[in-house]
Amino acid sequence: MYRYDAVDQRIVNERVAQFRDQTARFLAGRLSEDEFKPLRLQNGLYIQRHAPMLRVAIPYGMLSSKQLRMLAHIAREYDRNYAHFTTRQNIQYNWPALDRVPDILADLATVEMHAIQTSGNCIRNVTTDHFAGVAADEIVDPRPYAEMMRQWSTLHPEFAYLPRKFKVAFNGAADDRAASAVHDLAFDVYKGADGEVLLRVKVGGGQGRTPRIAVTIKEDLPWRHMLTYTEAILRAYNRYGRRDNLYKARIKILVEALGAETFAEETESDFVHLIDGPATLTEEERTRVAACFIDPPYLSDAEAKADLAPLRAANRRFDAWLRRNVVAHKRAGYASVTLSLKRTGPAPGDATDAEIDAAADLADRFSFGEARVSHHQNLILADVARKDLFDLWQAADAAGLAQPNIGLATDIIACPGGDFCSLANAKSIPLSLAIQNELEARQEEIGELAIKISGCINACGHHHVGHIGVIGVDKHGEEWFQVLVGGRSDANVAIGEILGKAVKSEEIPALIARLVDLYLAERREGERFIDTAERLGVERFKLAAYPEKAAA
Amino acid sequence: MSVLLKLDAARKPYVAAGEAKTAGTATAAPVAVDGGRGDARLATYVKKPAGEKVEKDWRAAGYTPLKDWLGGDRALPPVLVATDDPLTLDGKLGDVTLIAIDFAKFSDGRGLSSAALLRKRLGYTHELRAVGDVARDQLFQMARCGFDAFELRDGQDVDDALKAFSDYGDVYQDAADGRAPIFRRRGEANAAAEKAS
Repeated sequence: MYRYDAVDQRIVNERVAQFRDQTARFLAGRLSEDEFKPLRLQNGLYIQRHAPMLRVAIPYGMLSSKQLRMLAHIAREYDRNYAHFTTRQNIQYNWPALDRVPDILADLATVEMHAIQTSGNCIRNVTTDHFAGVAADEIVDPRPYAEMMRQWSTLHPEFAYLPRKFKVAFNGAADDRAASAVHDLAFDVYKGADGEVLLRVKVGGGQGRTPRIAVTIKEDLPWRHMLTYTEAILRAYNRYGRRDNLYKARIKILVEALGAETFAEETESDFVHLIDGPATLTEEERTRVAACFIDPPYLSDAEAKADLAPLRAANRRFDAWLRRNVVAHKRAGYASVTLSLKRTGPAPGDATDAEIDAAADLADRFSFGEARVSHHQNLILADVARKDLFDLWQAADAAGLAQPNIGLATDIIACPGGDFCSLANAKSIPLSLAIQNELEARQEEIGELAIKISGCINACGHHHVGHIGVIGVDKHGEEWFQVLVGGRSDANVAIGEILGKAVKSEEIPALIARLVDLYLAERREGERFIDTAERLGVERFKLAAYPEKAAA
Repeated sequence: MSVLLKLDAARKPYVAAGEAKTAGTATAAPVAVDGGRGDARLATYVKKPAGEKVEKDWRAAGYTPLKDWLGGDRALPPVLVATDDPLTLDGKLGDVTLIAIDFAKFSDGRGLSSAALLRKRLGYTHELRAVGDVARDQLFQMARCGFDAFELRDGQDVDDALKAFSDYGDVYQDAADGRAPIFRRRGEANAAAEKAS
């Protein structure tokens, strides 16, 4: 993974000092609430329902075991012994005291971490495929490009006060595990005919109140021009994006209002002045950054492989875990393993300090000291030798991290919801528990099913792209939910369709069970829920969701 | 008058005019002149916001609104508000030695792009002054975008403000302050960072 050099460390240290000074001035009454707000937000600090909430950046989801241990330490030292992994590959703490936040940032800086631009109307943490560098279907490892983008966007002076937040994602594989099409700006990294790395540039995707799929404005941008082209896009957005209405301020609204073609022309008209300028990337820099993402010292396939059949036959839980939580690696002797943070009980993505420490130990023992966070709110050990899989499973099971449910009905994505977030209309966490309880017994039978829950229209729980999406709405001060079907965030991205009127929280598990019943009754050989949903069409699911309507 | 900070040739800040030390309380958040509607040329789909427009008396402040300046009223230097297009000054910068850019509220970043365009695209080299809601915590960014003069909002601690320009000893990206991107000078940047630590 990327390692800081002296200047990276200097910039993060200076950011800590700057924020310490800003916090001191705020606490001394020399900065008003209004003045401090954007400053603290650009450092990931919200004022939430109970206390401040601090969001820490995990650039494109990569973590060392040392960083994991620091995250556990912070949960213990400054918070209530747990933290929450988010749908943007970040981590957040729900109970830090404002005056101690500078100390948290100082601790983070010692392990090359920070909270820069994890909130606010600026360029947010860059995300990518959680199997980057190891996926069998990878075309180009996107991480060097994501890191060069991270550096360029960090404290960019011109784009610190955009109309609204701006999220950038990279995908370098045949499938799309980064949900790139629902980002403000996304790059598909691929190779041209001559082997040169090219970028397909997509803008204007997003979720929230107005879900949109990003549109391609440049098919084949040579990688050297990544930053200059991005600068032109951001300048167009900064100058012309709406600032009068919070809900119409994202770049997707501008792109839609102008039309993708006009937006692309506007971008090009600036880009022609920037092309080949100083911000044009150099081969030297790409080589330097890419050297941080070379393969670890793998064993040969012969040394790493194992015949797991006898263990599978003897141990059904191990077998289920292998089927659900272990995926193929680019090397035949290795596999990538997901440690599930979707226990029935704790909120999706929550982890205690002990669990985070346990994950660090597992990373050290089995995966070259590195882990990743997926936007599905789970942890990944990307490089596990097949001969170690049984030992890893036993150790993960002992730590409570081996639920064999990845991609299944209980692997729910949910935002923190009304229990923590001051924006939410409804509580996502108790609902996700109720849905887990409803479907857990037959989740193996159901197979792959992505359920995604957001407590409000802001869609942090990605409900628009869930095979089944659930969104909280406020109805006369009560918590109600609407259900969507047909969304997906893979390479065949689609926005789900709302089935009908909102119902009370307690009715949702049974409603979802009826959707699942329809699928099980209608599915053809090999069809997943989403396949059946697309074949049958949403109308059938509307009738299943609201049987009283069907009877009428 | 309010305090005016400037950068010297070595980009060191100094107090160019006004009281060296001001006291006072934070002012109420000003209202955006345009209501934050975005550029009129491109954003024709935007409805005009209801409510009153708050127009500043620019001439009393020593500036001419850009539209009037382009129309030939050049007694005072031009001021650009957030919706003004700096590229309309292309070819008209001949003997201009001062341009002001207004920040109706600091959280509206359009003026930062206007400054960058004046410096980078139009090659403007004389004084570029930030006016309006100009406060300590935005000075570093403004300087990087090409501003070299800063008319501080009332109530700012001048000593604090002077420190803002050295918040960071290095930066990653090029902007409009002459610094090259870090990847073109990584060796010397690392040497300097090691020396500073």
